[in-house]
Amino acid sequence: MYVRTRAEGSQSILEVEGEIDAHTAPQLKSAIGILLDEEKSALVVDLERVTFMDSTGLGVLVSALKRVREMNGELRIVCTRRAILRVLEITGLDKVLSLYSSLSEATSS
Amino acid sequence: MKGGPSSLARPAYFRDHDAFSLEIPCDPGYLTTARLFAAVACRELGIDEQTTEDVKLTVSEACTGAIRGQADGTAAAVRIDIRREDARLVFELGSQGPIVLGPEGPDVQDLVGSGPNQPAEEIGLALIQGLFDDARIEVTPSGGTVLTFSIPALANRG
Repeated sequence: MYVRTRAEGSQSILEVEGEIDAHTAPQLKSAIGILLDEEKSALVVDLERVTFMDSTGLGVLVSALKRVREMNGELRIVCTRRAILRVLEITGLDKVLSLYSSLSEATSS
Repeated sequence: MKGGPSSLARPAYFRDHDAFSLEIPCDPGYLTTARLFAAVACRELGIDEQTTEDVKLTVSEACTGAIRGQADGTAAAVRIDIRREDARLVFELGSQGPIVLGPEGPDVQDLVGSGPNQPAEEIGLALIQGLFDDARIEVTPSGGTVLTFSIPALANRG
């Protein structure tokens, strides 16, 4: 798994590529933690290049959402891949996460 | 599940016609190997792409749960068996310890608004049962744990 981070104004952007499972989730969790410490108003996580994610990845996203809410910020998830959306739908997380169909849509809202 | 998984240094793969088996060490670094094994077996057995993705997810969840269940340092191997039984393909995943399903971290149920009495550990099982409604976890006579589910032998769920 590869992660790339950058800041755009008041937003932190995290682009993830590869597979998110129990082996790689700690790396994702660490990257998100560093970005949240910057206390931007929004964290955008781009999952468009994620080919696999299981409940370990869900746990990382849920942790991020809780912390973002405590900071009165926003967590925006970019995801159109069917395999990833399916995991979110089965667990009901598609109803609580703010999902976007492109990075430009997520960063311009 | 044939025999009892023991400690293992590297993955071990077996195939006999329509029966596939893989043992992986108790290490999250081998989850990719487990998913690849499941994908190859499904392809060999003519399973469609969507069902294969569901199998890969379930295999990953179960193997993760088996590895998490051996946090006490038991480190027994995790075994995956795939075999044909009449018109169905049966998947068995297990180890000599418990299978602990569910993400680490905060309770997902707090966010999705389900009942407060449902523990986070059930999220992984709910995910698996959302994919395969006959999925079940059983304790083996030797004290291990096995997760079993099945699909039609020529699954094509679109």
